[in-house]
Amino acid sequence: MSGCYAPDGTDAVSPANSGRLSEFFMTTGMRSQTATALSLDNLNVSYSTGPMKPKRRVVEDLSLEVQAGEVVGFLGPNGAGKSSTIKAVMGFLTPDSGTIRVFDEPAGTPAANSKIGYLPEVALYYPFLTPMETLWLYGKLQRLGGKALRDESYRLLNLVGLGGKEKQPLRTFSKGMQQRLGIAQALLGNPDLLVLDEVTSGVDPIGRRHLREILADVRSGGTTIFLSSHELDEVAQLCDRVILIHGGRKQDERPVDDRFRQGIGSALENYFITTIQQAEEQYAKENNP
Amino acid sequence: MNIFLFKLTVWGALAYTAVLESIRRKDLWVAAILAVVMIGAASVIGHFGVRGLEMFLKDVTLTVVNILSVILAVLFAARQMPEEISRRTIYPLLARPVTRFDLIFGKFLGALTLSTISLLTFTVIGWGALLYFGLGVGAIFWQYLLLRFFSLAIICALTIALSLFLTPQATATMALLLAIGSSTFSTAVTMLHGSVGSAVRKGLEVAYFTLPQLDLFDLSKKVSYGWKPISGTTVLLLLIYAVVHSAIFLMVGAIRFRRQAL
Repeated sequence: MSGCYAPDGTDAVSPANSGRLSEFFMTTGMRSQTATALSLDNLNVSYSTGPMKPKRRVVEDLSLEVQAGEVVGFLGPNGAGKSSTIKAVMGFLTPDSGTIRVFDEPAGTPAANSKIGYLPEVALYYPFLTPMETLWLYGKLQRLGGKALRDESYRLLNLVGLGGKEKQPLRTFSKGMQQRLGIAQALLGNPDLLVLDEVTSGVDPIGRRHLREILADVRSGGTTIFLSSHELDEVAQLCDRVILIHGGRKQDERPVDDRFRQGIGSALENYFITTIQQAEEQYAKENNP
Repeated sequence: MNIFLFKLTVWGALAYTAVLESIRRKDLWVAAILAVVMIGAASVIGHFGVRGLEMFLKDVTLTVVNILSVILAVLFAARQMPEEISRRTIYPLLARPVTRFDLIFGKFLGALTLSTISLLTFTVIGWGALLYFGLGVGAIFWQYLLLRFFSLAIICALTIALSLFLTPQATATMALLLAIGSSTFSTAVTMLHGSVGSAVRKGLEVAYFTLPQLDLFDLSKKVSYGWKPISGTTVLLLLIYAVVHSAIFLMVGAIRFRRQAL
């Protein structure tokens, strides 16, 4: 499947012709000079499975664009290539071919990373540090310091619900609390682009709602958000657009409209399952003619 | 903030975190207790009033300081990079506007700072033990400390480079073999040099000049036997030797790590 058509046969919408975006830019203005926050062009990524063994391709000819100010959900089943794509965007994996640009800067360079706030799939932080020390370290790595960094750290910890726990060692933190700290470190320095891999992983329902509210606030400030998630309710409520991948290939992309939002996830879930099933049928046909 | 100042801040923050981790894990306490026990055990001999053992006591004390500082330097450096990768704390670090070399160099500085703190701790304990028995050390003792610091820099750089190729256990074993076996190797090369064929001799020469000769930095015997300080030029040459070797090892590590999938 090429990804040109949605499962119901309508044209899949590209970010460029989304009406929401132009309205968004007219009302809030852009944070960056470049309209395209993230662009992937024919990206191919493969992993080595061991010495003398052939490489396994995990991302295949993937092209996509995320416009500045947009919130894009990056969806796919387990093993679809979402995390590998995100790792390539962050420079943790070197692509076999293709280009990735972040606000026109090559991905993985300090210039690109200075514009990104990143939350890893499994957020783990130094168990011997406190939240304040953790934010101090990450702040120092991005040219922040002094009172401004301290104030920003307190503000972010309060924002994610860790106020009062600033000096508690992280080894005593639950997974959900670590994830909240992960959000705080990703927001440090007010990045132009947030890349969030499984943002609410391990967070309880109250925490999830809280994180959704935080992300809604962040997007209203004009920050671009690119998030992968299996929580389709959250995607339906947060995202302007979703991109579906399966087997490392883009299967479809479309805006999240009221139809998806009103179903609170179930409509999006149906869309997700239908698209993936179609992709699998197509794959089976191609491989067993 | 200019770029050099920013780099210093980045390296300093990474090094500080490595030191803080080790302090909170109480690594240095374990090392200090170990040094007290070992030097204390050696000092028991002096306690029984055996005369003429001053040199022996100094020798044992400095040997303990040498061995423990090398072991700790290897252990500190060997875990820096693999732990970042295995516990996935490397992702938020490299998501910042820093290069992979910055991370390696920051970790190197952290390991070197820890090694220096442990060297100074052992030295204070050893010096205290010697003073207790009324034994002083000459001016060469300070040169001994300075050269130990240089050699620890080489050991930390070598270990960090190895840790990017090998498992942590293999790194520690290999680095200890290279660090502790260094003097044996150079003695063997010196002995064999005249009695082997030209091809083997060339090979030995290449190995001799490629591998760091850590015994060049060991003044412990000279301290024990009360030698005068060595010349400033020699110290300067050894500093250059240490900087060049450390830089080579860190560059090898950086080249290996530059495109490593995480």
